[in-house]
Amino acid sequence: MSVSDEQLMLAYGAGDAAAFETLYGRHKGPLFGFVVRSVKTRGEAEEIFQDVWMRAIEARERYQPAAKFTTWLYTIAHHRLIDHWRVKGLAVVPLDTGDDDEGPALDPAAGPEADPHEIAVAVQTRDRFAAALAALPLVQREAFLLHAEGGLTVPEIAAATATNEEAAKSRLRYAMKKLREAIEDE
Amino acid sequence: MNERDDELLRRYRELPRETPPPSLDASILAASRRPVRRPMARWAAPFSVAAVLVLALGLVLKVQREAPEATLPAAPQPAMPGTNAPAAAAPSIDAAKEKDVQAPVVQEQPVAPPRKVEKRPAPGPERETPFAPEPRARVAPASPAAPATQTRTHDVTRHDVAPADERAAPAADALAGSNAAAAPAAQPPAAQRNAITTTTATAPPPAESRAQSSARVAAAPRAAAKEAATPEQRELERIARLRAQGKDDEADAALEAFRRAHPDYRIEPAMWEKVRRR
Repeated sequence: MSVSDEQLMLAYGAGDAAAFETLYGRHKGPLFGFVVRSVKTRGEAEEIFQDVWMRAIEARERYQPAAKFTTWLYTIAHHRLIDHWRVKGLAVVPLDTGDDDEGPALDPAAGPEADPHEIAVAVQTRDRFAAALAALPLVQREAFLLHAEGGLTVPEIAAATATNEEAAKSRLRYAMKKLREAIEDE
Repeated sequence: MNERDDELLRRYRELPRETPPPSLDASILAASRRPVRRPMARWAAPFSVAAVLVLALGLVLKVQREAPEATLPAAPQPAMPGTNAPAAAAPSIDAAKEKDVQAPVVQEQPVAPPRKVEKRPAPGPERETPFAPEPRARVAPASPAAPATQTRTHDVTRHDVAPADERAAPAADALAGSNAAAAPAAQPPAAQRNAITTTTATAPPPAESRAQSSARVAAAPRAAAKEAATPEQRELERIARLRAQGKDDEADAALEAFRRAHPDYRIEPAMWEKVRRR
């Protein structure tokens, strides 16, 4: 039986460096995927990725396993991305988005086209899916990536993004609907 | 979650996976190990400082323990005949005061300009005394044309600055002829022989008055008193002077008093020869 993420993080906070290596090995891929699909360039993704882990290292002694480790880790990533988007002049996620919320404007650099449907027609299926993902509004894309990469549930997405569960559920549902439409148009 | 959602997730996972570069992995893992080592580093500096302080304190204590032995004065000075030493039998004579009183005698002598002196290695048997200080100056062989006054002054200076050579004083006394009978040293050690040589080379001419000779040799005990560091040695010096002056009764009484006052004090053989009852 493998040791849980929470136990590993507690062990690392107590001085067990090997525990962190295990933890890092488990989550570096999903976290990097989450970050790299949330920004424009790989360089930015690497910088943010490293920063997230550094913040986790610095906060090791304050870590309390009140929530899942992944929720805690992706909360750090979310805050770091918010800072990044603010620096880039992009709109920040509104907290009270309803079902009809489409979120802020598309990240101009996230995809060549604004309409996921047009992207899906133009490229191969996989590329259409990637393009559709990149074309999603920030909040919807983030909700989908937290679910797909981090395995977070709707309440965990709400906790990580500091929003309510309804908003998180709405963002995730809209994101999946648009992506589904993109691949079903093949 | 339904099947359509699962299909969507499957499609997502078919996308090319992005992974961080190995250099980034190494950088993060290295950073993760640094804070774990910090507690040791936090204690390392204070611990090092404490260890250095303890070692330094131990060293200081050791040096202090050894220092009193290392600074013990030279062997006690022999008695000099014909001196102006007071005959008082009080056991606590202040040697410094005595020196001050007799200081003008030395100053009456014309002071010779400082001469370059020759160092002579003369560690005789008595020089093996553990903490006897090295003589700071030795008398160079005087030139035959050197005036007697200069020679005398230099002789006094020798006694003043070279307490270890004072052990040669009995032999010098014998040469001076002031009290040959009281001179106890039958076979002077190497240091004394050295001094004899020196004294012989700088001996005053026969025409020199006895008063001058007395003044010259009187400076020796004063110098000895100056160099003596312990009251016991000063007292023994005083007894030796009484003995040398023929005041045996006073010397015997002072020696008895000294024995009573210092039952555990070990009188060195050379000094014992000077103070013992005859």
